[in-house]
Amino acid sequence: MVDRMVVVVIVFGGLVVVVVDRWLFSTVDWVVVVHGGGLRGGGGGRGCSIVVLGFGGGAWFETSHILGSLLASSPLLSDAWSHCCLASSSSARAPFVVTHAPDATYVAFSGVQGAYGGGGGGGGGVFGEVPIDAAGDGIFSSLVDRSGVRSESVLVHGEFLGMFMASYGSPEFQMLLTRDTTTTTPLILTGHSIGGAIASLAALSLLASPSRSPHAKRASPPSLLCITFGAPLLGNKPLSDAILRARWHGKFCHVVSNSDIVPRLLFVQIAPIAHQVKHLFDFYHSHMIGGGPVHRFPDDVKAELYRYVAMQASAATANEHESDCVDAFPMRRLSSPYSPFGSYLFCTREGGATCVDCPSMIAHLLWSTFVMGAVEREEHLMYGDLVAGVFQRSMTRSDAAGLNEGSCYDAGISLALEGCGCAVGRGAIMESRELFKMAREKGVGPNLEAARLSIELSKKTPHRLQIEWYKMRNDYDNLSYYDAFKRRSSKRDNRANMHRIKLASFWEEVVCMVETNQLPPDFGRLRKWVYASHSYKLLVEPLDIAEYYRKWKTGEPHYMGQGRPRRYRVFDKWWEEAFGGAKEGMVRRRYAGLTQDTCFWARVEEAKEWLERVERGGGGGGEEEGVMVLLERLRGFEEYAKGLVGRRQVSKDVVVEGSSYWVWMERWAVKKMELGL
Amino acid sequence: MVARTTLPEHTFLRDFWFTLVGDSIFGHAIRRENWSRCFLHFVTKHDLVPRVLLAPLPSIKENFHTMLHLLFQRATIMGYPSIEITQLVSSFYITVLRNTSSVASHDACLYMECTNMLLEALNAFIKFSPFRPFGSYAFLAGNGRVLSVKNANAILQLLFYSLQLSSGEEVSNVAFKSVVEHMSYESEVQAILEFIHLDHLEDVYGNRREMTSASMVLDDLGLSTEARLRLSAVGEWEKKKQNNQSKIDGDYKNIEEMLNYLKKYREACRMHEVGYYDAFKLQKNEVDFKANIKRAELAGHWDEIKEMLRRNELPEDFEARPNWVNLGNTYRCLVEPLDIANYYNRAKNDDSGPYMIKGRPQRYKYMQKWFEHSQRKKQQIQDPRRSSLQSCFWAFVEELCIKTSESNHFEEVREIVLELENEAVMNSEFCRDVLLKDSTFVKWWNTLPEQHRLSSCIAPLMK
Repeated sequence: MVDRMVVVVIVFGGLVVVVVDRWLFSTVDWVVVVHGGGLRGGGGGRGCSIVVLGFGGGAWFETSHILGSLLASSPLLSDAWSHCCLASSSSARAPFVVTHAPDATYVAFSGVQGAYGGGGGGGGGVFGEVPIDAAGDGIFSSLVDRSGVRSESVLVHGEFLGMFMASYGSPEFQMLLTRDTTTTTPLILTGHSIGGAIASLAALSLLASPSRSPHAKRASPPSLLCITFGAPLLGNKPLSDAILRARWHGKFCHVVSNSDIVPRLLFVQIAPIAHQVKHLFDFYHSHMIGGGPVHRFPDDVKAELYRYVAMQASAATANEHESDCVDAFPMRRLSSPYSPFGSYLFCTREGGATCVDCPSMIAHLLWSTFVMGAVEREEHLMYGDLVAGVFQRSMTRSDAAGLNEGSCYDAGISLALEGCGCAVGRGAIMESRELFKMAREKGVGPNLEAARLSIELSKKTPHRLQIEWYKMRNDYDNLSYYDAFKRRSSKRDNRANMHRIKLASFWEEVVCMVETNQLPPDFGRLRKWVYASHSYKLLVEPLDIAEYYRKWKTGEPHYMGQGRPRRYRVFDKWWEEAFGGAKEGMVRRRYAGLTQDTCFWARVEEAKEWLERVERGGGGGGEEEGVMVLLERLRGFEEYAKGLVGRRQVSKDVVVEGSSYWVWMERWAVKKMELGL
Repeated sequence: MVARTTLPEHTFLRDFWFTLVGDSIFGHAIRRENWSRCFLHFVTKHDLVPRVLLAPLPSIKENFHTMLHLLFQRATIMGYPSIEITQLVSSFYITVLRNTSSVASHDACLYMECTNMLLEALNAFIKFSPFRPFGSYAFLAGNGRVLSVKNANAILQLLFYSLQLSSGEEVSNVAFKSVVEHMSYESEVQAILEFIHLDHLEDVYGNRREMTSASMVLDDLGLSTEARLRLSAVGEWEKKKQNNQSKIDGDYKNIEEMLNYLKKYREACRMHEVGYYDAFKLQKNEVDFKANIKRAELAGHWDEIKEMLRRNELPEDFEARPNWVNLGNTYRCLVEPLDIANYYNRAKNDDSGPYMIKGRPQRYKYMQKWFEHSQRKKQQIQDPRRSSLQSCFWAFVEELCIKTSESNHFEEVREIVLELENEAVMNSEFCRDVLLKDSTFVKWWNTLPEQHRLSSCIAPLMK
């Protein structure tokens, strides 16, 4: 919970911490600490390192290697690997194999999926990418943003998509889509090599499809986990962003060895080396299938391939992370659009394991941990041994070499670096350390911001109460607070306006932060915020409508058309997702406290305009807007409003004498009599 | 060995090779009541039995009986064990070790605030044992030194790290060592020279090169640097909790002031012959609005405390602290009527149903539970119905108003009416508000059948 802000003032040799009280809170945002050496003052001045400390107080700890050892000690990885081997071997004829175990259902995709053309083929861009909705059937429609706010489209590798679509149509897969997620065991999708990429696509399709089970009241994401071994990259950054937004990135765990070339392959253009890559995959496939003639892959060609990829990959990933690092390869080639998503478990042959989920961090580590392995071992095929080694190491005491760092946080980072095999080359280490720290801030930042907003919300409560009071006073005086606010004739109305503005700016800030991903991805699903935004909307949207129509002139767009602030649309969406459409309210004995349709007054204003046009003699809006059309609309509105009032879904102020609605009703009755309706 | 709830203060329960009994809630309850020092569990470095329940039952079921058998038959071990026995013992050791590692890593990720979402997803796929240590543990390091630890998270990490294999060590050797150790408590305990308490966990990593006795016994237990990092993290987590506690304690005065303000409001309403419940409901004057603001502020404070409790960010004994329990109770009895008035005034019962079913905020439920628990400890058992009546009296009245206006069957509601009347009579503080002339209660009560009214216990008070 956010409470005290640690303001650090200092510099070399020591650390002075000043704890500041809450009232200073709102004036200070972040604090930059500059310290020489470790926090304990030791570590002979290797220059300054910049550590940004935010709210929360207390030390930070690096956890990526701990999560790695959690995965290492569980049976998940070895079980998933054995299923992958089964699926890839010659005994399995299908592209994927479904096995039902007592505690989970495994769906393993074979690493041998038809002929892999070596990438770049089959249409699509230079790197083989195609838009994800080329799949048709709208399978991935929830990943593609329809509102057009985001400019780049979601792309995935064309060949992998094609291979996946071949499996998608099969009856076994369709059965997976329609299973009842509430009563069946959770699902683990897994795959080795290309099978891994296809398993990821399969997982995305399952997550993106609304649950077709009759028992699920609203679409809840199925409980599934996708574990891949040495899988190549799949999609571009918008895909990674979409998965993050949908809160699915915690369901993917990609296991990567530090000498495996395949996960790094798509950082480079394949075309110049297409032939070698095809040869390499034929070699892999022959080993995976086993029990038949084995392809040969010459060692010198392999070394050449590795060098090419290493060089290209480092140049390509140089523009992936935000820090200004020294670019060792100034000549930039066409940079690859591919970006990692989900979590990556970097494993080393010595048994280290570090699990990272920040995409830019992953891209950097993919490059900086890549070492040319021993020539005779083929790392891409030896994940079984790798997993066993990682498990063995987690059971064994090991004293990490040279943990000289003074602070716990730095020591943790050293352990994490060692776990992913990043201890090669001096230059890489400093940069990697900084990246770990930045990744940590990025991870912790949204939670801190959410906590800060919680406090802000409670500070804004008095404003909301003032507006409630304003409404109550108007109800007491038998006035509609909507009309009173529109007229703005008394001091009371002006004060209400001031409160309205303060609340509006707060909620605008909240929505803006949600859209720019500064808040946790599940922010709009938290009950607290759903309720708070909903009650704000119910209470204050009528006042915003009143403000809009106070300045409105005929001919300008209506509130419902373009005048409605974005935040209300967002709140509607949050409420819809949480409670799925209109709640079937209980029978009301008296008028509701607040009108349940918050745009009711806007509709009244529209109806008023239509009535005026009819009274003036119709027309005024193009040929189609003839009198008949207007009358039709007016009748529609009358029915709708009468329904609401009949069910008492409106507040008392709607039906009070003199309110805009009441006035409109009278005039419409007169008009109806005139026209003999 | 099951603890009884009425354990007197200085009973000292000592046991050996004790296996885990309860889950984290059980441990939390023991720590909350400050009974940790009453339970002392002795554990040797390699003994498997204390760690056995950290592994899920299916994985150890097969071999468990054989293992237990072995543990009580020293003779089999002393000779040359067969290959099967060796394999069985080794695999058992590895199973327990791997599961202890999972649980320890999982808990470490939680208190080190890991933000990776994979952690959440793994809960559905990896079976973590629900058992956790409680009380204090004494780790026998084997050379006369004993490390005594009270913090449950630290104990869990130590249970794993002291069990870890040394590099190059044969699994079978260690596994047999564990069996031997299991039977050698007597000699170990007799050889105890000094008890070393592990305090200031947050400095464990920083002090690793210093030659303090705590540091040396940690080395004897075979802890790696990573283990020390985790212990330091436990220390930092506890420090954070203490910081949160001090922050909350700073708010205590603030909350008291606001409660005093509302008490004065209540007095003022009484002087005007209107109960504060009704005055608040009508919201006629500025002073009622100010009371509303105070109500909302108090709600904010208590909700913050509730959130912190839910996320385990406060020390474990918070819910047993008498000053907070009393403050919470005062708050509940004084302010819940205002929340009820707010609820019914804004017709929220039409949106979400009766207050007692769906409308009651969590914070009041918590406070009621704390109060009842503290009463129970003082041997004054509180009927939950009675304590909820104390603060939710008006909610019942409002619902009865609605019910009696709809249907005229007095018999259906007779029981509740009698309860309410009893409460009004017994609680003198209440009487002063409830029985004022124009209160909701009186107005409703006058609509009840005459026969009941004449024979009711509050009839004399109504005159």
